[in-house]
Amino acid sequence: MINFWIAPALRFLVLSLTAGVAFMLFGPVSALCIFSAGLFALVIVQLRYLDHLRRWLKSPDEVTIPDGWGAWGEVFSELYRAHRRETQGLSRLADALRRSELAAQALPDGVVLIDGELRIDWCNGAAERMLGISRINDRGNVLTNLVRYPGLAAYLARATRESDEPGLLIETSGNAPSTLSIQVVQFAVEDKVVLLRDVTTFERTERIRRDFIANVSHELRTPLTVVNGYLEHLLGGDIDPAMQSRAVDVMFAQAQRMSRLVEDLLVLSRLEADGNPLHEDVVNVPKMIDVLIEEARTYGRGRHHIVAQVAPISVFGSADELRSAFTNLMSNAVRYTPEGGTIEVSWQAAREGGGVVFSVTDSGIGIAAEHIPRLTERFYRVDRSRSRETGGTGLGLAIVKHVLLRHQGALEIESELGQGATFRCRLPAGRVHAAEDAELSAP
Amino acid sequence: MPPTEHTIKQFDADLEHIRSMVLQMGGLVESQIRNALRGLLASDADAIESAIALDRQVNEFEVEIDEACAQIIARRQPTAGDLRTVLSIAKTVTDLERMGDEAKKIARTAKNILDRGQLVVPRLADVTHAAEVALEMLRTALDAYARLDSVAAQDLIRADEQLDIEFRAIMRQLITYMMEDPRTISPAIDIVWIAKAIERIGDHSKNIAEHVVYIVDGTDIRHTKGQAGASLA
Repeated sequence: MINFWIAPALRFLVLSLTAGVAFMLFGPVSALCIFSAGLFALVIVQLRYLDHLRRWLKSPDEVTIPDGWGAWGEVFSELYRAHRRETQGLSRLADALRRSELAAQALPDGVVLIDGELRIDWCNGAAERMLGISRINDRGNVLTNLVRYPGLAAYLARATRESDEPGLLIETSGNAPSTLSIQVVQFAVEDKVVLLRDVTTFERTERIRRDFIANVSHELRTPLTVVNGYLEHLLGGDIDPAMQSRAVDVMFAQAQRMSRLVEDLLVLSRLEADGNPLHEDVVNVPKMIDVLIEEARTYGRGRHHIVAQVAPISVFGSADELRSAFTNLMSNAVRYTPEGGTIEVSWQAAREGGGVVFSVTDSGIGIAAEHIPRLTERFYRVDRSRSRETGGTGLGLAIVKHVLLRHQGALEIESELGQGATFRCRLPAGRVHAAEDAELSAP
Repeated sequence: MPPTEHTIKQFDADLEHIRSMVLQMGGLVESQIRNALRGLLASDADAIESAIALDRQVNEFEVEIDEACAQIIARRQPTAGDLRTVLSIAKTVTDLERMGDEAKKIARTAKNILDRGQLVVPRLADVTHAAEVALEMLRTALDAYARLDSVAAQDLIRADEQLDIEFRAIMRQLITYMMEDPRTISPAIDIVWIAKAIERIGDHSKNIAEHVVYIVDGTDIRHTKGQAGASLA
């Protein structure tokens, strides 16, 4: 502060001294002339620097900041520092802004910012994908004009800062139909954040669980109704002996059906249970297939031709589980192939990838294409009446799929309506045991 | 009295409000059609009922929007682009309402099929595909309407031909089906009704796209077989 005043004071002093000397040598007129000329020069210099400052303020820039003389130098360097601080602060702010925008972009959930009139202000990539909107092109468009689910507009309008509205579920259509859970939060006077979460998988598992319970109850109730009906008759006592033995037969069949169902359910839950490691053994599959074919012949009472092509390959895995999977496929083939049909069973090295494939091909009624992806769902039935009368539990293919999953394998189904069906169990190369090994455990 | 800034703002807000209502109505029709189709494909009685019930709401929307259009013309005497917007809103609403009727028709037929307990429905897979194309067309048309995107609208006008081709293919297959086995005639006729309704939905979507071009470019490209559209694009 004091420094600032020293230079101008000195300058003024020099000027006054010069004027004083002139007064003594040449008299008052010349002294005044010299004094005012000096003041005039100082004013010119100040004005020039002021002009520099004016020009610089028009386009402030660190590089072109003017350098100054005397007091001006200090003013300019202060200005320079202030400008530096400001630009640094701005770039830090811009950085922080960019970072938070990047973070919002990276969120797996959709985020849309809307104003009081529901116009889109900003949205992240997930929201763009979920709703089919564009952050750049749709800015300023009304959100509910583009996302037109009945009820959404009312829901968005209803939400205020205090309201504790539960989320809204909407189902989007299009290439990948999905279920979105929408939640809206008001954050400024009018502005709102719309949060979107894809709950498709969650909804689907929920539905499958509900369906499963309903199906199990239904499947158990049907035989129970039959058994109860006959028992009521028997308890009433007014039943002739011939009828009585028939009733016992029917009840026995129904009880067996129930125990088959419970058995299958237990198998499935064992397969699914965590912490149930796969019992690894060397399984002599060819021997197992021989036994299975014998069983299928007995079961089908010789109504089909069964052809087998079995390569001498053993695999590592659980003998019990593999037998249960293969039995299910064989009994399906027997059940759905009419009398005189052919069932081909094959156990061969896979053409590609070095794995091994168990396949059952029948000449039965076949399966329409739309049913194939859903066949391994529990209790999924192409034709409800038929599969129950043939004695299925509706769980067979689910068991096959789970067994194969546990063996890192896969189930492939190929079929056309009326053209029979092929079920292929693919096991990976890592499970193949040396074909010549003599030490094979019994299946 | 010359219009003040306030009246112009108010007019824009009114127009925007009507436009939003049209798009809400469009969303309603979309879900009505989707419900009708779900009812048909999954034999879902609830979906069928909801498709039929939604038609009432669609009709109420039509009356309300028509009234609002009449009001805005009487009060503000819009010109140029604004007049085009109001006129096309009135027409779009008619198209949407007709689509709602077609959806109701599909739902009614689906109900008939369901009530008869019919298990096999001929050519359902093709109908499903055509229906998806039609729904996609409606969605694109409404998106183009919301964004006032005349390019997307013109693409859609050309896409309508695909649906017409698909409709003719379904008809041919159904005719063969009926000739092979006369017992399939009555279910096949149901499918004909549904396919026709779907084809009409596609036509109405095309009309909406034409209204979008009319609003944006001010050119009427109806009944020109797409030449005007081609020269504009």
